[in-house]
Amino acid sequence: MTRDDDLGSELRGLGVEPDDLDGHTVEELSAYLDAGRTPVDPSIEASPGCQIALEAMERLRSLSGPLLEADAEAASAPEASWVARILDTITLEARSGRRIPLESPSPSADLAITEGAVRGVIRAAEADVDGIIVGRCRLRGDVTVPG
Amino acid sequence: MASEYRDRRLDAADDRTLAGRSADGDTEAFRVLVLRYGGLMRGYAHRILGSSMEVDDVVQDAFVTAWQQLPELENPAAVKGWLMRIVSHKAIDRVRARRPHLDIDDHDQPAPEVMAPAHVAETRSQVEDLSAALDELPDGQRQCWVLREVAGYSYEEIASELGLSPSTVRGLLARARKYLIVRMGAWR
Repeated sequence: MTRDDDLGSELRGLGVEPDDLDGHTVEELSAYLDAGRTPVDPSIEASPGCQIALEAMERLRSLSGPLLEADAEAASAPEASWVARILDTITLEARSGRRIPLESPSPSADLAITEGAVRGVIRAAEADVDGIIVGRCRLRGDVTVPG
Repeated sequence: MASEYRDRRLDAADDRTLAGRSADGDTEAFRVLVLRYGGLMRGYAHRILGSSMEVDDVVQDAFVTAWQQLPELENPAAVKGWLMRIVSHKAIDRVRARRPHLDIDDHDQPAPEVMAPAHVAETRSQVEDLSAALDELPDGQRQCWVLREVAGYSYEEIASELGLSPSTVRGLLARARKYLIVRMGAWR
């Protein structure tokens, strides 16, 4: 330890005033840390007090990932009604995509299937094949023109 | 039943598959994304908002926006980070609507009491201490810290999201760090 001679202030646990930081401020150190400690500031790098403060800031940062995980765990499992409300809302905005006309012998008939329905059929095929899963599905070319 | 089997396959599908299928309009794939990342997004929104009252709304809103914009997502494998950015944005929108002048809480709080050095070097209890200490911060400071350290935003991004100047962000972040360091000083 570099501050054995100053155990009193160490025990108080503070060490964030300019006196503890060889004249630097927490604001300076905070910005220095976020700048990736570049360009190197020799005065900060040579100051034991600054190093302790920077290390503490980095330690806090290292806890942000675990904090987010703990928050996710603590967030009560979403209620079924909450999930249902999202799905109800988005179902209203179904993506039917382009209209794909189908040829028919009758000139008066106007048959078509939507792109969304074709994708649905393709996805449904995975039920018949063990172990496969269908990803994104694109229909190439101008499917709105028959033939 | 076949569809049940398929659902289980979807549960295990990777993000790229789920995001791609959702972009195609598959609501079942989207449901899996909601279940997979809903908790994370709720936890994050809670940190930004500082209360649980609006969390449900904000995250719901984020998912609906995500559904609408999914077809434009260039890299479906990166859907997690993309969802986090959407929820971050939605949460900040609420914050700004609630209080247009965020920096009014930029006052000096009383010097924090140092937490008891009960559990040193144990990540779990450190996280608990950090969680409690963050809750004590004024909104602006807490939001700056979370956007910087959890979401990884730059000062400029935080400034533009919160409607503050970069130098105000710099000051708020420094105050937040100072408070947290002193409050959690016992762990060094």
